[in-house]
Amino acid sequence: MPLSTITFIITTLFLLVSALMVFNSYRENKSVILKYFSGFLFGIAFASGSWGTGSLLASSDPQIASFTYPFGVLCGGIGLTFFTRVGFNFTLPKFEKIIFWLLICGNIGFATFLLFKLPDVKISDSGVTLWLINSFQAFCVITIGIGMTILNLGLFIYQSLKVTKKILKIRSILISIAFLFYMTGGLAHNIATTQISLILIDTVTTLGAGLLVFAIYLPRFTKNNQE
Amino acid sequence: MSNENSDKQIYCELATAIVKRQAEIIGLDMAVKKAKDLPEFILDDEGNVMAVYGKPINSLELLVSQYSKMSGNTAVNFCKDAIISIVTKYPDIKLPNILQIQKATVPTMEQFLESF
Repeated sequence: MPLSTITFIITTLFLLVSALMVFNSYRENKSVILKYFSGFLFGIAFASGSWGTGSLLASSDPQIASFTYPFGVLCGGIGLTFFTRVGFNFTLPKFEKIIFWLLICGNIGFATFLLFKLPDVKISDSGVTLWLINSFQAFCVITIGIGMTILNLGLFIYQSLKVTKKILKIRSILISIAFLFYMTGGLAHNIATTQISLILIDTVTTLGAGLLVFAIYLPRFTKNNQE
Repeated sequence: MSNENSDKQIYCELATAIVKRQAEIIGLDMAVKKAKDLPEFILDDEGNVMAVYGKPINSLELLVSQYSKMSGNTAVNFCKDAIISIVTKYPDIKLPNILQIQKATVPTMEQFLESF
């Protein structure tokens, strides 16, 4: 199995575990923000799962593998939109619904645009997946991705500054760092072409997902230790 | 038992906040008189509620309805507005349906981070 596929699978598992833990909490206390937050986690989990599938199919069926790229961008974009909704719910609740639906429409439009020129997906000799993406599309993905990262991180950190409990402060810092790692790694996949850079990027992405699980599990861990 | 007592104290705080906010609209005398008309509440002439009888949730609902008979939905909105700070302080306190919306629309990052 290619090295990239393994890291994608690990990342997807980390994100799925996080998403399920948050979704379980949502089922218990029906908080709408938890629903949005689990939507974010499921979205990026499906995105990683989609790219992992692409990486797995790269040598056997490159045509299908190339389709997993826009599908992953769509899932990831929808996930990010849910995270934006979380931030707006705290900061500007009046606009959260309209912003959410505008971004969802934008995501669908953008994923359609990516379908016009699908990437060539290849596996290098050392087992790293190379996504040879059209340079204009890569530029758009990175620009929009950076914009969304800054917006979401800004909203999340702004609200986190108001948190007073130490354990929750740590939790919010870990979520912010995890998000930054995941997004940096995820976006860098669009321009990286060398094996070393791709290995480094895969590591950063997986580390981000791992940190996210840790951040979500942290209060339960400290509670268990106290008991 | 002590929980029940502290809850009763919180309901007294909630009722006091409601009466005092209504006093700003319809005047202190009228706001106090309307609350005193209900056997569920014991309060002084300044609008301080000292005891809430019966099921506190139902009693609070009766109090809000009493004011809404006079000023309609505006009274209900003023009641919700009056209790926001208390509800934020005691997020687990149960409220009648008529007062629920504010509790749901004032989430904080702290509550969110604590909820999963």
